[in-house]
Amino acid sequence: MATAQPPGARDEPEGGEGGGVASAVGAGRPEGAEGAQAAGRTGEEGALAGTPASGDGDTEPGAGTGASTGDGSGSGSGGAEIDVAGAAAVRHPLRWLAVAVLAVLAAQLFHFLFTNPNFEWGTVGSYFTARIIGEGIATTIELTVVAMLIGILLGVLIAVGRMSPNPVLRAVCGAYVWFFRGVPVLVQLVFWYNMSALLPRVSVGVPFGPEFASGQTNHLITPLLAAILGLGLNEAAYMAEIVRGGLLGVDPGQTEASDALGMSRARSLRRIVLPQAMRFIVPPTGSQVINMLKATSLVSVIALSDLLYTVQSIYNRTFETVPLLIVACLWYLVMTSVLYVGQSFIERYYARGATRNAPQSFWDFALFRRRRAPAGPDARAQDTRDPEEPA
Amino acid sequence: MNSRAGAATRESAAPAPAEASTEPPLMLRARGVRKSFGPLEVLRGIDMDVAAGEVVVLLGPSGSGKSTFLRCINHLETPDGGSIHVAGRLIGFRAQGGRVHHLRPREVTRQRRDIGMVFQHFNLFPHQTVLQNVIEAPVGVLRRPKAEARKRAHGLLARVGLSDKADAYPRQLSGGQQQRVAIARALAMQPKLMLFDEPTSALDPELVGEVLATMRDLAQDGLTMVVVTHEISFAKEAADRVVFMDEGRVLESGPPSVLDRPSNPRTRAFLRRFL
Ligand SMILES: Nc1ncnc2c1ncn2[C@@H]1O[C@H](COP(=O)(O)OP(=O)(O)O)[C@@H](O)[C@H]1O
Ligand SMILES: [Mg+2]
Repeated sequence: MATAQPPGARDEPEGGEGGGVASAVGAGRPEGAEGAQAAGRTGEEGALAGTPASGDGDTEPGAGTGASTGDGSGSGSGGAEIDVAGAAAVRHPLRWLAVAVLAVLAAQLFHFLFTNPNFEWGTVGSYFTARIIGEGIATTIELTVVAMLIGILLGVLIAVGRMSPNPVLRAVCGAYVWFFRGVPVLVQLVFWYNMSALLPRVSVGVPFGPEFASGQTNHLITPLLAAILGLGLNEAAYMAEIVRGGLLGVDPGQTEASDALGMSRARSLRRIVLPQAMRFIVPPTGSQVINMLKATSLVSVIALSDLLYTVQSIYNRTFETVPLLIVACLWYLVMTSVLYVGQSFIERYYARGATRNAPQSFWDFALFRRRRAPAGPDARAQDTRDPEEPA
Repeated sequence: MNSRAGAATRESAAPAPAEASTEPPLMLRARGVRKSFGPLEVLRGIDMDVAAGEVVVLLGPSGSGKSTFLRCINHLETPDGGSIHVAGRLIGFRAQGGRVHHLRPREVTRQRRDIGMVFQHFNLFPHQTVLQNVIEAPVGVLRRPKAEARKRAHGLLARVGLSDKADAYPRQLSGGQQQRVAIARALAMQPKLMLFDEPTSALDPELVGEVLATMRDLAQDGLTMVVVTHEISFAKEAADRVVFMDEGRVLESGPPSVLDRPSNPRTRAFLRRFL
């Protein structure tokens, strides 16, 4: 190992420097036989200079690898001290190649988009802000919000139930998750919509006993309610798993401390465990909202006039299928983009202190921006320990 | 409140007849406490009496069951046998008509209010400030008015030497400061009995002293304490009594002077490691 260290480096700074550079070049090349020989020669010189380190450095042809370590120590200890301030950045030529390829592909795409008359951009423009489309969007947003609220509230209850000491409750909540995650949401929607075929009348009363109130299922379960039930109950099963994962992520010592303080289980969940679990729950919930927004388009099968059903009903009349589908796509993209931005803000909020420096963003890369300062004042406060210590 | 207090004395009258009336009153009375985890017998019949105002240091090798015993006292673990009374009340169970019943979780929760516990890893609530940590249980559990709880909390923080840290978050404090907040948080419930489970074991050596000093103050103020620790110096200075545990049994117990000349060979072997 000690073989190829250019020993002259330690004893004679000038000679060492020269050897160091030569060997660095050699080590850099895969076919570095020349370099290795150069390094070997340097070693020879060192040996002649009377260093006891290695006489065999000159005899081994594979000394190239060893030479690279010798290079480090050689230039590090000899000569002026190195200052890493203002070091040149690592170059990424392949990234620029990728950008070039992508630019060509994008140009082709735009060419296709604007030269193909089938897109009927004029039609797209005229429908984009149409009032009826706006009503479809409103239904889509309303469905997303209500179904997500049901999903979150019910999901928290089911998650807590699955972790309850009560075995009956655990089993019931487990069965719920199993069922609603196991049946496709499209099937669930159609099922709720057709509930009247299974249960023509619903009634409230004593089981197998007298009835207090009853009504036609068809009147009770409108398409809107069927959509809300189908999407919300399904979402609850997924949210339950997300919440449960979050609760399991909190240090059990927190529950123990609240138990020891005499808090009830409900209180310790609400005040201590859930707030801490939010860090794990909020980011995936953001993805769920985005998924839900897209999943609402499934309700078009039960004739609820959301965004997709609205455009479908228009193009069924006018046969402007492609431009209307593009209108729907654009609006879905607008809505999900808003949600993505919101989600990234929320994620950054909940990741405070978890990481010290965020990876460089695409825009920072593209606009030649330097990496931002690693930690804001907020992040720093979390790490700082107070040195002042009343003894 | 009155009827509840009456019930408590009736309960305690049955299982603890003579000892309960001796002076000073017993704050902790454990008899034959047993606990197993599966096939592993962790506690094999622990007897322990702690009088009001007494400080007992519990020593013993790792794995001897010290933590498990402390956790049985506030019913974080349910003992398999024996009995534990704190301030005259049977913990975790109800003796009625010659039979013993498990208490409901809500009743156990109520009993824990009188028993403070300080953990090795502090277990402060990281999402709350120091002040919020201290008033959480008094306000949420005891229903104290917030203003009053805050005033008391400031007093307690002064007592543990952290008046200036009320608005800091736990992560911004050193380990020693965090543990002192944890002590203040437990004291805020005005417990009759305080349990400490290796309160300085997770601390850097230079931070141990400040926590032990706080605990010594509490001992001098007459707080009843059961302390699991490996700090022999604390036992010598602050304990009224030391108890050695090994393999789920009490080996030896006596005044701190037994630390200098233990009679049991296993106690001697254990102590030798700390000299
Ligand atoms: N919840 C548990 N489940 C299984 N084994 C446990 C549990 N808690 C403690 N033990 C075991 O009981 C023994 C005693 O533990 P503990 O009371 O923590 O000892 P000490 O505090 O004296 O070091 C150890 O062997 C430990 O592994
Ligand atoms: Mg322990």
